[in-house]
Amino acid sequence: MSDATFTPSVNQNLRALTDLLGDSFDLIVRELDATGIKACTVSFDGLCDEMKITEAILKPLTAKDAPKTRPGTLFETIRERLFKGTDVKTVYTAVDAARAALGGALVLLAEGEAAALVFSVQGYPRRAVGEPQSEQNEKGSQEGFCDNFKDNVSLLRRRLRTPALATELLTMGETTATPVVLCWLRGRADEAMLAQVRKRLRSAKLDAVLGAGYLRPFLDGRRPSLFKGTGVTERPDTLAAMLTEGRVGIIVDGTPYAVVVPYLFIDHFHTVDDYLSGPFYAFFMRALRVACVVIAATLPGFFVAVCVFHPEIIPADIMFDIAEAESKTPFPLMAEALIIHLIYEVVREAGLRMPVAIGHAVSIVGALVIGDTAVTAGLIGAPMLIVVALTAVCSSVGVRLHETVSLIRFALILIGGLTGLYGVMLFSGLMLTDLCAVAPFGVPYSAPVSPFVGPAQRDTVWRAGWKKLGRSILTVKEMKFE
Amino acid sequence: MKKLFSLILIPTLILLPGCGLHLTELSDRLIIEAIGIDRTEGGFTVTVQALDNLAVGIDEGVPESGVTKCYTFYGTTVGEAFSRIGAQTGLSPLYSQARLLLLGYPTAEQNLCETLDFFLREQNTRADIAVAVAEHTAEEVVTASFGKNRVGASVLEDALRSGEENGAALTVPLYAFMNLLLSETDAACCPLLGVRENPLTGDSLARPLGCVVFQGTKIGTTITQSDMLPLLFLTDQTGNADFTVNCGDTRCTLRLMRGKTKIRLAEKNGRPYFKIAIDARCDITEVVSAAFTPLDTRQVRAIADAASAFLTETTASLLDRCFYREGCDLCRFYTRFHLRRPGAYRAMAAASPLSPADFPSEIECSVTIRRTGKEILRQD
Amino acid sequence: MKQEAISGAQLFAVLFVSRIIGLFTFTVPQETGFSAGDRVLFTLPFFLFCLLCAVPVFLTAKHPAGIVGLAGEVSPALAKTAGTVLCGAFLCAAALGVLRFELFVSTVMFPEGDTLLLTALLLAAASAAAVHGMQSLGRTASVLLALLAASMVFILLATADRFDPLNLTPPLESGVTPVLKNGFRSACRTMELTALSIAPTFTKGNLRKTGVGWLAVFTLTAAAVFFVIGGVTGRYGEQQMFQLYTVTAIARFGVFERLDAILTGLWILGAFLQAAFFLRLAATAVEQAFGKNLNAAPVFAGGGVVFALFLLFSTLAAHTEGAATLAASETVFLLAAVALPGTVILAHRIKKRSADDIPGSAAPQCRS
Repeated sequence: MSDATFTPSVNQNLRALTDLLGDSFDLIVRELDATGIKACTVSFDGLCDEMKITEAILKPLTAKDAPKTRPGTLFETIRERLFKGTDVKTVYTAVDAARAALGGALVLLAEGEAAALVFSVQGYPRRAVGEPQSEQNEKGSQEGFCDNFKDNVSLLRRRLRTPALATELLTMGETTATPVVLCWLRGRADEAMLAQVRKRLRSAKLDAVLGAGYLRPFLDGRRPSLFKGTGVTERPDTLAAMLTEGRVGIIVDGTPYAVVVPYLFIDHFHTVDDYLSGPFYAFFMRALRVACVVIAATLPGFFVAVCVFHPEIIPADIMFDIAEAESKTPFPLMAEALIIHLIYEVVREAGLRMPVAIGHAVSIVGALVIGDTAVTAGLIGAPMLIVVALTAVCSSVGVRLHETVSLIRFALILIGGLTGLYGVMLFSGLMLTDLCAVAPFGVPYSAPVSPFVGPAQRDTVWRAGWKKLGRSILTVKEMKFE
Repeated sequence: MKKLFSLILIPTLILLPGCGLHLTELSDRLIIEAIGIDRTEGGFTVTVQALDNLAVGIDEGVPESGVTKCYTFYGTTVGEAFSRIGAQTGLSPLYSQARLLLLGYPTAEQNLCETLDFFLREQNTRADIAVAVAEHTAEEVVTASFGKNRVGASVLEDALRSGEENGAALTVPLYAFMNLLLSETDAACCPLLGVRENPLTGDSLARPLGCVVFQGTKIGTTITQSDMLPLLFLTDQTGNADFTVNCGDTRCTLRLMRGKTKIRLAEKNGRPYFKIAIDARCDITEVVSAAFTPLDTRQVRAIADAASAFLTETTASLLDRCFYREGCDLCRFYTRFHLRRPGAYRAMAAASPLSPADFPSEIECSVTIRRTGKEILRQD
Repeated sequence: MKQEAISGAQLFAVLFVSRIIGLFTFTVPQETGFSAGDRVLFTLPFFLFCLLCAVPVFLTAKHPAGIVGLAGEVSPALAKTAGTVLCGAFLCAAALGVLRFELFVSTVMFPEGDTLLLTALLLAAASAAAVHGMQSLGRTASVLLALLAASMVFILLATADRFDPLNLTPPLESGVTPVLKNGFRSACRTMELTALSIAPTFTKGNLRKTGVGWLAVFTLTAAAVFFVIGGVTGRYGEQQMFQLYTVTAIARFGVFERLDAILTGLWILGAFLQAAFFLRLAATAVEQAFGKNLNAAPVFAGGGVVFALFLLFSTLAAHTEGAATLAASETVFLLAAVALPGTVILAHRIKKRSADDIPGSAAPQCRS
């Protein structure tokens, strides 16, 4: 885009602007007589609130009793007298004016002014604030982020009514120029970490940024790993809580998810309901979630390894049933496990992508195919079906880790079927080491469990009561290694 | 390029034939439940009771042949006999689920080192498998049918475990049995199992018939069921048991709820001397007399005294027979003395070969009656 | 690669987990005159020998850059030599550790199969873990320590009712010599001691306290383990190759039984960490000696060297712990833990003294 600055000629400025914006059918150019001076407005149909433009901008400008101005003083008059307190900005280049127009603003050009005024009159269609789809809860707020970054920031501000909440607007994506908002709490977030976040975002050369997921790889760091040091949340209350712990949030326009850095492993097991219930119940539920994630990742591989290599572990009564079931199926146990888990992933994916109207049909087919028919036809054994059902249910509890857990699960089935518990344990050790090696922005991913941070144990799997939690504030800055 | 190379190389290495580990599905395994060993002319006969994979399970009907199958293998050694399992059955043996190891009586009368050496070395066998001696041959007991829905090994194991409730049997794991067998002085004991026919159904019934005490690696003496309770006291393995005592005109049945035996080393005239203190807590479950008689404290005391005297006498009698006459050191007197006074033990052993007469003992039994039934004690 | 410092507690965890695997999978050489009672007792001379051998190591650990830094103050060539010797020692220690563990796995888990592939997998995984750095290994060790401690408590609880003091044997039945000999041999298997000589570069805190604390806790643990083994299995256990494994096979706690495979799985994690730790130490020694940060490839190459050494040692070892591997263990330990630090300290002292003697190099002294 051209960097040309505006000149006092309105025609030249208009030509520069329209050259940049091109000949789109939804580009609206209005010529008007603003307090006796030749002016024009540029906006996009559908992005601006037409009522606001007419009532709040055009009418005052073209009114008969509007104060007369000389060329070169119109903008001053507008700022100080006509639209005092309105969101009005001045831009000096055609590029900035074009960007503003593309963002839903109204651009005003006037004779004698080597600049343009930008009025925030956005009125594009946007989704209302609704329930978060991926982070349901029982007792907490039912508001989730929506697609508009300004609405999301306002949702956050309503929960953090403190002047310490700082927000910084960045624009990312060469083509999309997506607004991205950094938010943090001054005095809590580590300045060095904040600088790192900015640096990584600015160094991200992307053509388009259409979701939070585009930015996560740049924030994760250079080391490839199954475990990510960044997380996402759909809930403003969760983001607010994390900001109070000294983390940094990134709100991306067009996506109802905010990215949080750093995101620790233990955070995957925390929900809003934990803080709204009693400590013992919260502890029980967190421990259950941890157990569910471990089961979802390791049960199928462990089952295959034990049945093939270490049947001595199996209690006698259960072994009878497994032996009888497996004697009737044509596939080896490892192949059975792989097939059935692949079918489960297919059904799960279908459930995510298909239209709601035919959802029931797929559920029935899935249940029949996997459940009854496969066992009756002797393709898979009932014990394997129980294993996959338990795995599926446990996967649903640990949704945030689903990607990682799915990959680990398949790897463990293969490894367990080929090398038994030996390979399963080796792989688990490797995953554990990989997990412990991740350190987003200098904070160990496995903290505060390892390295052990004593004061932080009040809110890991165990959750202390609010009287204790409220006594002091613990931030992630204190978990950073030197 | 490197990543592509790794992606191809690693799975290839893993899946190459011969890189390998022996993958055996459960259906290709012979799940052994019980093992019986009999010494025959020129070798050993190993009888194995294994699950019939296709017959067990939740949904299918059980065939007439039952849920288990028995196989017999012969070899010049036990190991050789076991090595024939794969060839004869086409399945890979799984020893880890075996619950019971039965030795034939004639086999146990000979040196057990040859019989049990396989189990000492084979890593896949269970160290805590229960060991028993069959009344006649192990094959007879292992192949007995206890009902087509029942796993024979489970029935036999339950019969041994019932000793915790009735004092008629005991469960001896292999490692504990061999620990005592390997000792030069201690005597191992092992339950004796037999089978009888159920006249109503025609199936077999498992019957604990007492205990076999070893002297070294061969059978030293056999203890009948009536002497099981004293044996359990001497080896401090008492659970619950019932016994009957005569007290004057009445016969009283007591239920042993808790028994404890403490063996202390003392000195008498400069020689070692063992005090065996038996503490038994019992309930009176039945009093057989001409009429229903409420018990008073004097009578309860008399019953307790009678029970003490009975237990003292039977225990002393068993100790005298097993240790002082047969030389089977059930109470591990030699080991106790060796541990407590190693120097004195060595000195005594150097002076002359040790014998049971070097370790006199005295038994004191104290019986406490806790409950006498529902009736109220009549006050004197 | 850049290495962040670990805490003393994390170092303790790594050292403990690494050494305890050798204890869990120890096998009894076929020698007479060493009974269950003696096995508990020999932990005392073991502790004393370790402390004695730790003296030169602790002296070198006083220097902030460890033994290589101390050697560097003498001459760059000595620093390089020290680093290279240490690297070789750690690789040998890794190979010996893998050899002992492979013997255990091939006997207990996969008696019929060829375990070369498993050993290769272990070393590949360990190399991948070593690449992550000491911080990662330290944190992993902290988690593993908790798991191993829980497993040992479980074994204690599950075997409590099977413990019979009569299964123990009187100590020193065959005299003091076997006890001292085995104490020394076990001390020679404690290559983790040598890690303290380069630990100042990657550890915060008081190394001496950590080192002595680790030795003390390990000794007590070993004594407790041998005591339990002797009391539970007695003479039967003495006939078994892997005694603690035998104890876990008979451990029963309520409905939980036959958990030897799961406990063995935890030990596999420990063996993996041990190999990764030694590989990382080898890489650190080279980095310090040559002043270069190593990337992943040399670490994997180190894993390859360990595999080659493993093959060499396994062909030398006759059956169980053959005399050849035993001698290798002792030689490597004495070289790396005693001879090398001793030489460096001596050279440093000589250099310091001669620097003090050179006119002008020392502060002026008053002359009478």
